Amino acid sequence: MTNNAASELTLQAVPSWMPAFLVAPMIGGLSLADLIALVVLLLFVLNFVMIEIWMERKVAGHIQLRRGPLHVGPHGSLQSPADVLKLLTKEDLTPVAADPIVFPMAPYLVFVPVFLTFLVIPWGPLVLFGNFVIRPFDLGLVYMVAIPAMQGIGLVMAGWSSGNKYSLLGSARVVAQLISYELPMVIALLGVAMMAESLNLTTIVESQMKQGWNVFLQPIGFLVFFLATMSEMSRAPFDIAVAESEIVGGPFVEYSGMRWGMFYLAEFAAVCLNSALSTALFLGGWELFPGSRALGLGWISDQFGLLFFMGKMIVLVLIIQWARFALPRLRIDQLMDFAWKFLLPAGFVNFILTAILQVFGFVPFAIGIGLTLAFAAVLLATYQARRSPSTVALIRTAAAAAVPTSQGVGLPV
Amino acid sequence: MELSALAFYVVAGVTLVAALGVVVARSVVYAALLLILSLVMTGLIYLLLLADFLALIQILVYGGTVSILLLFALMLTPPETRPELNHRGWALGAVASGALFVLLLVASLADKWPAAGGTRHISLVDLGRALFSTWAVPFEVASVVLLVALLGALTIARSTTPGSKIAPRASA
Repeated sequence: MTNNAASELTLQAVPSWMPAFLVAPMIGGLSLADLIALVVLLLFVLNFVMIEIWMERKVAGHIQLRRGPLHVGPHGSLQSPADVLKLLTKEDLTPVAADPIVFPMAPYLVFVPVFLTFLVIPWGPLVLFGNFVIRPFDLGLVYMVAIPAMQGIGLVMAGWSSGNKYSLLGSARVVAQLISYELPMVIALLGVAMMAESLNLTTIVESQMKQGWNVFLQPIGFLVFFLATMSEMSRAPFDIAVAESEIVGGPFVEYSGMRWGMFYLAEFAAVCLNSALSTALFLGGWELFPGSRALGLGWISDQFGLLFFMGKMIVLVLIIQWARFALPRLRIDQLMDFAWKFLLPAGFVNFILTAILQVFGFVPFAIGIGLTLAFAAVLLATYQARRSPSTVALIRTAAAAAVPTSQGVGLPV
Repeated sequence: MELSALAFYVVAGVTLVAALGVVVARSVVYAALLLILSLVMTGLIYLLLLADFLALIQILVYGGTVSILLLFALMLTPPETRPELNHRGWALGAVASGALFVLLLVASLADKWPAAGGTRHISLVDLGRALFSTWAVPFEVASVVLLVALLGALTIARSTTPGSKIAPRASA
């Protein structure tokens, strides 16, 4: 994380996001300030992941009427560092059937794309430190779609190279999921790009401060993006790729020790990343509350914006964790139906409505939103009416059949 | 040597070695993984030419999506039925690729190409303006071609069971 002055130091000819790690040092696109920023960012991600894991275990505990980790440190807050130490000292097993080259390489290919995507996030300003953003890159929106797409290759490599059929099944599911959910995500992002008329994440945040947060102007887009990213990172209820009860753990089955830790790290870093992206794209980035600028309170966001950004991000992380423990896992066919029959059409509706807003103004847009909601309500009602009997109804029927009637007929117990 | 030129030679060298590996590797999966490496490295070459949008699209489309589909298709074929790659047809392949190489060489020598690091960076705004004004017709034609390909893929995928209008749903 570096301030504005440092990012202006980079050569004009070099695209402003150059630290694609390998190329950049060679053509002089990486200054010392950038290196320091990268180290700080890496430390932030690693530490945030540890806090996130502790949060998740606490959330899980309280949702399930337990207390979660309690003994290591106050309220178990040092549990994650202890776990990391344990992972570091564990043996890295390589199964006999595993591929000797691809197997050790896969965990890094899963984590590195996630980390690289953090480079474009506009974290916002903080007093005395300046504005925290590593690369205010003009193609930020394309970058944040393109780079995480590489993650799939790592997962597929992990699944294939393990030499285990559960891993292979897991990577087949990863592919199906990634390909299906990338589309609605990109379609939802089109609306954001149209609102801000820019692909630069910093510009997108600033435009939201002028015309209102995207979560209000793009409610459908936010829903589609948030659900699609949740699925992209294989979080429950979309975690069919790692479903423990079906395929034991998907592509990671054969991994142990720190290599397994890398997958875990990548998963939690992705939760942080996607919450940060949702914050920047839809929740007004570092603004305190919508319309604060009009009330003359813009200076609060300009001074302490980073804190508000982090706050919103943590709220989104908590929502993602809440969903994990409150909702049952979708079946794979339900998952596919959800992407193709709900999210994708919803994304297109959002796209068309945004175009209406930009061309015809707010009133036709509001009418369009109203019509969409009415249509969705009608659809939902017909779906509920046509739906096959619910599980509860099935159990009731079975229970009624099982009770011995006057004829003495019942299910054998 | 200039630094950008050095970067170009490093990246181009890795691209070529990976591409050669695709041809030489005996394992299909290794060949596919090397192909991905070669495609991503091509993206880095675009980056060195300051075509950052093209580079990102290359990484997104070829590095991410196309290669994943390729790997997926490979994995769905069980290893027993997968043919062992052999190099029996290498002479024919060498002649064909040599001819293609000469063709490309002649075509590229006929035009003046930008050098790495030396060209002007074209912004996305310029690109969009050019695509929707000067090149609007080719752009639309390309989208129609893509649509036709999409429909063709659907038709092929659906015609697996003769007689039925829609392919049966995969059992859950």
